[in-house]
Amino acid sequence: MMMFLQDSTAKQQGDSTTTALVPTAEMRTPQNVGYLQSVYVEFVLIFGGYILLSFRRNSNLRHRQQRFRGSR
Amino acid sequence: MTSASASPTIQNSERSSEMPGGIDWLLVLALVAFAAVTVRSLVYTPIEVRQGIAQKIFYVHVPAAVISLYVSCIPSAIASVMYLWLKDERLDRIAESLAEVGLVFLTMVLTSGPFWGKTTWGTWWQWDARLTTTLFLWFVLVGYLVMRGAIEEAEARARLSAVLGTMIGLLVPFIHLTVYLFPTIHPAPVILAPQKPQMSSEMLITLLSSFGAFVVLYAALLRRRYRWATARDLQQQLENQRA
Repeated sequence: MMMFLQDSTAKQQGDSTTTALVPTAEMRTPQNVGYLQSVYVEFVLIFGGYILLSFRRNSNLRHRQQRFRGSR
Repeated sequence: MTSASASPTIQNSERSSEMPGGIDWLLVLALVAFAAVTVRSLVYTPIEVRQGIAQKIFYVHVPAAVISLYVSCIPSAIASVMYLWLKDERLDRIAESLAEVGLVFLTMVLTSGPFWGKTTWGTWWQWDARLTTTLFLWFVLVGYLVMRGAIEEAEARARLSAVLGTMIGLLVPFIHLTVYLFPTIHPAPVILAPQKPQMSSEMLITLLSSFGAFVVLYAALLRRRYRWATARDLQQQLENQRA
């Protein structure tokens, strides 16, 4: 299946009554907006969580190195 | 571990195993770039005529998919094959880091896709070839990392991981071809297609900007992960030499 993404503000070609396609009300339904917001929340949770995990791992390793040096 | 030439002296190890502190500027740059792309996507990119505002999920979903499959899994498989050939522990660390960061991006793909699917297909999930094989890849990557954590002996861990990592690489071309080989509701590639992209220039610029931001984020996470793995292995060497 091919996907064709069409700009809603682009002018239609080959039409004697050339008009701009204005985004309809359905395009901004709360449900549609909610789905988009959910994806950005996911982005923050997934990448933010991974970045925090990486900071925590670095910190744990630093403590391990310090303990190792301190015990010599 | 496996390569004598790659095992430094204790003194050198102590210096190079130090975890770099301070601000990770590449990570900061990645987050700023992503924020800028988000603003461009939401404010300055036109709404798609049929799918509406939810189509903007495209600017997160597609770059994350391309990076996880083609920039993570394939190079991880190449590093795995090279490890089996050269037995260089750095290649094992590269493969491990690529696989883990790739898993994070693939998680983003699998969790953002259903929101877009619900809008355009009317369903959250479909057990078709593309979606199912991508989910399968996610489980294999999780298995790869769990397996690494379960094997104590470094050389055995690296060797078995390299074999599984190679298999992961073989899955990717198959996943790419599923949209051509099987009936599926998932669209064929828009960017990696033979013909020119079917979208307006503003949408294309936003998509390419998003790719750029995701690549910087990917590079920042990969660099952090690889540095941590290097410091961990050197620390382990020090502890083993002392024991």
